[in-house]
Amino acid sequence: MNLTRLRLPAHLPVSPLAAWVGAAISFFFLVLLLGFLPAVARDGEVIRLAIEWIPALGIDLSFRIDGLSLLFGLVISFVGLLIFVYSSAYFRGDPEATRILIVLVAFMLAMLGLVLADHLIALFVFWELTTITSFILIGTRHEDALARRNALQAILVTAGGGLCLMAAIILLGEAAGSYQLSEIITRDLTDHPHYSAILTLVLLGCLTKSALFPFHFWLPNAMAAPTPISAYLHSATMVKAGLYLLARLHPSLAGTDLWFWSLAVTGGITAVWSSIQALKQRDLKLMLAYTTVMALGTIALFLAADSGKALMAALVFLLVHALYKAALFMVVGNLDKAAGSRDWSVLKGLRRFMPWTFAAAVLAALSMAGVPPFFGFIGKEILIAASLAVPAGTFWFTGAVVVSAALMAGVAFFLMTSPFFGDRATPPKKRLSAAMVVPPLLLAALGLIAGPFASFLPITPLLQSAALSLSREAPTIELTLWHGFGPVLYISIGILLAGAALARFFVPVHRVLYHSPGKLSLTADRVYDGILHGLLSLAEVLTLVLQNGRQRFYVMTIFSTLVGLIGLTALNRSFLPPALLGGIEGIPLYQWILCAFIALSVLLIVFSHSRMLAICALGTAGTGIALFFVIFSAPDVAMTQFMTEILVVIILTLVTLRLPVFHNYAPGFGAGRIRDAAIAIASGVCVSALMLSMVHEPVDLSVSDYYGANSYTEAKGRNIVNVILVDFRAMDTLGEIVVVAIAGLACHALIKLRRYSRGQRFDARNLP
Amino acid sequence: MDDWLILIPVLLPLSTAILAAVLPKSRAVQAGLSVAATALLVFVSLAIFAKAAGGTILTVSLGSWPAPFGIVMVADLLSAVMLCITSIIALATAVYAIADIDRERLHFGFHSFLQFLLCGICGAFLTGDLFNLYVWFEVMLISSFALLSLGGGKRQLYGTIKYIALNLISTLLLLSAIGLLYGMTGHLNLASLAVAVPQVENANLVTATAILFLIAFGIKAAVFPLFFWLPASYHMPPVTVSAIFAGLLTKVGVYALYRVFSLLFTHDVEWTHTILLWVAGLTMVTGVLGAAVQQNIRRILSFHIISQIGYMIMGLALFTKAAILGGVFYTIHHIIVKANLFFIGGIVERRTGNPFVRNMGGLYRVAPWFSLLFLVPALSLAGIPPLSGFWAKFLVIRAGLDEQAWLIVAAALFTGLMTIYSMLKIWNEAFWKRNPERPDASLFDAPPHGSHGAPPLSRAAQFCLLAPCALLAALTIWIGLWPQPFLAVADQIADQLMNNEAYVQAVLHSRQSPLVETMR
Repeated sequence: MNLTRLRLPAHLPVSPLAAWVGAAISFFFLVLLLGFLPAVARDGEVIRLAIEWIPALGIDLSFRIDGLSLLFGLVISFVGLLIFVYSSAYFRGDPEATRILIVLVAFMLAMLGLVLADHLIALFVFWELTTITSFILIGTRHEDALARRNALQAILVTAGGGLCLMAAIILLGEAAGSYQLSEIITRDLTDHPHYSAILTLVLLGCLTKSALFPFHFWLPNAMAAPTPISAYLHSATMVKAGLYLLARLHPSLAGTDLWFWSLAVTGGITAVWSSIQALKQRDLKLMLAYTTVMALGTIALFLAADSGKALMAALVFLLVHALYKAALFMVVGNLDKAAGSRDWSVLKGLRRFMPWTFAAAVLAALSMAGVPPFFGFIGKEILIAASLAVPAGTFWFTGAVVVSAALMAGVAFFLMTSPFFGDRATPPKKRLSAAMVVPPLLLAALGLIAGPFASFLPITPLLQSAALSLSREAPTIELTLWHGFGPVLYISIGILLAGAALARFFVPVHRVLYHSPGKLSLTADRVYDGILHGLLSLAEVLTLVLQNGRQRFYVMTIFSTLVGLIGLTALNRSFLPPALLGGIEGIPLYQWILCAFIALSVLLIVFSHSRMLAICALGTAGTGIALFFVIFSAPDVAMTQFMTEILVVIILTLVTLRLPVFHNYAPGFGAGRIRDAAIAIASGVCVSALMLSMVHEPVDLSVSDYYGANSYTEAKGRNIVNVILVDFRAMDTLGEIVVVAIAGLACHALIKLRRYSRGQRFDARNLP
Repeated sequence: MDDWLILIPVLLPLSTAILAAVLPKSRAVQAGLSVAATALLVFVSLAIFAKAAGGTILTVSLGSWPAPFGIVMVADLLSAVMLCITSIIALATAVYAIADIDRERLHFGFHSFLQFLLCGICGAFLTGDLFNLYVWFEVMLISSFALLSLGGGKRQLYGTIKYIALNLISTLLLLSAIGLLYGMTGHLNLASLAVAVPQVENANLVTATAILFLIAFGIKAAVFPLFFWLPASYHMPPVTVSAIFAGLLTKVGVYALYRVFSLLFTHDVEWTHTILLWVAGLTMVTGVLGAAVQQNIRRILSFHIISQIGYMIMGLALFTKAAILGGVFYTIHHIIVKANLFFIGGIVERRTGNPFVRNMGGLYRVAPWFSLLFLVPALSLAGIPPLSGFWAKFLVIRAGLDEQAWLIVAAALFTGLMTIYSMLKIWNEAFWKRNPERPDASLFDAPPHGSHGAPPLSRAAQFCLLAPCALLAALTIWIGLWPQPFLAVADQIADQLMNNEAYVQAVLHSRQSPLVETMR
């Protein structure tokens, strides 16, 4: 086979085929998961499946299907199915459609894996896969600088949280003695010594993933993605992953003040703050993004509590939200495709031209506002009832719920009226295919059906079994529309009235908010920019200081490190023997003179203004050392040293004659000079101290003795040094010969092959 | 029992280098020889690995001189694994070089120098003698100097000078350290040193000598604050050279640190390994911050070598079995990924004609498969699961948490995040952004006046550039999806490193020597 012909097509074929494949996959999982519904929801079974993966680390690919994971799994596969159907029309004609949809399928599989995984490491693998696929999907319009920036922001925030989560998972696994969720949730870890570290890290992971305050800012920016992606990832599924994990770990981590207040405060602030932000938007999609953040905040708020009622409320609201919000996103997508805008101040009177989209908008928005008999009404009633029953912080809970729900109702009423009513003469540019109309309509209609028929559909047992996964006390809550007269009903009516009033005066309220000093200069988005910019500036300074291109600095740093580390060691682990200079009195005078000779040569090298003189001094210093070899009866070593010194002097002289004159060859006694001298002397002192200490150690002479004894008898050589070089340690000699050979070849190449690089630009950050 | 097989990884590249120097300098002969020799090296390394994986430590006494007296070559599992990975990178490099190395460099012995370098690296991994290790470091240094300077212009030489000067300091310190140790014990053989070093009376002097080794090998491994030579030089030579340097050179330093700080200097772990831990943390953070501000793609990658070395040192510094396992696994993963990133970066650089990311762009649009090929090593380096880098990071961080070393774990996590930032910066700039100059240029459409100035590549040449990337990416995915066999091997290596009796036994036991008696 000619391998070079093996070329992949540069472009994948443009067709909605991938969307239908995605739809088929999600349909498969939907049916599969529905099959578990009777066993899990009715009989309360927990289904486990484990595949061996990495036994060395005790990691298996295990899955757990209980109420909670089934609830999430069904939402993911059902909304996924509709999103893929919708995408088949939405991405028609996009040259990169296939790639986008393949990544979307990958995301869906990862998301399903995340909620079904039992082993925490497996869960984390899927968690990070959703992060990375989300990054690629946010950057779908990648030639737009803003989309790239926002994609990067989203992944830095969520992956940063992901890294914290990794640490949390490791600590959690150690604390619980198992990485299996099935095991962990049976243990109460609130007394563990690492509890607060674990919880903090888990919270960092989950708050970032679920865009909760103070990490909420990336989610509206993620709206740079095309609408189906925003609807699916950044509203219905991925952003709920953090909440899923919090719910999952509720049995082992909840019940402390730290858990309660951190989630209550973050959740409450997120809910209220983002619902106010929603009013400030002109872009309908951004408006929806903020309402999504509000919903995430509300769910987090109720996960703070410990009662079965509050947890049930969180789950019901989660389901309610998944149904209406994805529908509304698709509605906005339709408006955008058809009318070419998402700005509500431009969109008017589209009711006549887009009746089905209008119907979907109305159904979804009524559920969002919490109008009876929609499912949203039940959701809101439960929220209010649960908030009133919270033992601590009732005011905070109820206040957050009421304020955010009223604002949401206002936004919902506005959404279903503003773009559709009013005058518009010209029909929109494009007609929408059925694939773009049916999915939102179907989702929204479910919100209507689920309301009155909540007790007939398997929704109630599913939610109850899900709530059972969170808390040991079984919640008994009837999902009915009518709970009788009481404070809950009055508050609910009040919210609707306030919402209607807000919708009526939406435009003036928007204007006031938009132009008000409420436009804070310190937004979380800017804080992110500030941190990133600050970090990069720090990095820049640090790198310019360290990697500054000055060889002198590099050498200085290395020797300073030597002095510093040896000095520290000397202080902490005193290695100097008591009699460091013991035996010094026995050194004869002529050796002292030789020492002085060498020292003088070195001083001459350092202080000489003439290169020639310095080179000669180098030679004399070397000769002095060679004389020591003679004194200590190593004539062959001395001979080698003499030869080397002579060659060094000759070669250096030849080279220096060719070099240009350096101007600051020997500058006087500046601060730099003194510093250099200090480092040099200190280095010398360090090495000398080590040497002198070493001399006091007794040496095992068995190796030398062996050479002496066997040189002639075994190796047939009289000169021991020669025998060592060519026989006992011949491999060293071979290596050194190779070094010399390479050096020769390299010099040959260096001299003969000269090419000067062209066109390389100079860059300050590019200093060698 | 002598096992002559383990000499082949030294002798094969050596003889290939000599052959390449005397044979005609045509591309077919030189490249063919180089590829054939490295392919053979892969087989030999795998054979050695197969033997070593059984748990035996292979030794050869050169000249048949008994163990502490002559030089011994030793292949334990760590050495065998390092050989395997070296040979794979070498093969990839030899193939990539076919298309990347120009005629002039070929003519002046590029493949000779490459094989000499391999000879040095394999020698360093195999030797059981401290002074001999120094010799192999010399061989590596001089051949890497040749590769760096070969055919270079002024700027390339400028980087080379820094490289050679700073590395010579390392050589000097290493030689002094070896001298000191010899003076204290009278031994150079690693196994006999392992026996003799704990018996030195002045244990603190051994500690101080260990610090000298730390600095000498630390320069080679490019740790903080001794790494300057690396970012100064790695972006200068042809990509092929950068890639093999990036993959292997610093890792020989890391290997040497692992060897001496597990075999010789374990008497004062509290001091030596605490210093190592600080070095590890600072190396990670300064490296990754350095990378964050670079615009030159190869400089970004170079600084990331430094930060990743930090993780490997962290594994050694924590000095538990789990940590060593993590560190070894990290090293294996890193070599593959880092060399691959340089290979891929080279293809990107070739298309743009210069190495600055601001001038790149549009690759995701014109070359989706190639983009995917980049994402595999890039995300693996960033530690995204389920790629090899995730397991590597997971292992060292878990080891850190087990030891409750919070500070180093925090540094590791921060470094992980910044690595993601850097990799995605490359992705955003080179792949997602619209190409500022030639938006529709295909992957191998080099600019007419680029720094390469090479003629358009033939299909075969394109294959030579892409095949190594694909091979290494496939390895990365394999390790990521099924790390079990790699972990099992790393576990065994950690066992061998934490219990050095087996090593000492294997080297000294073959012939009766007085040292074995003293050990008992």
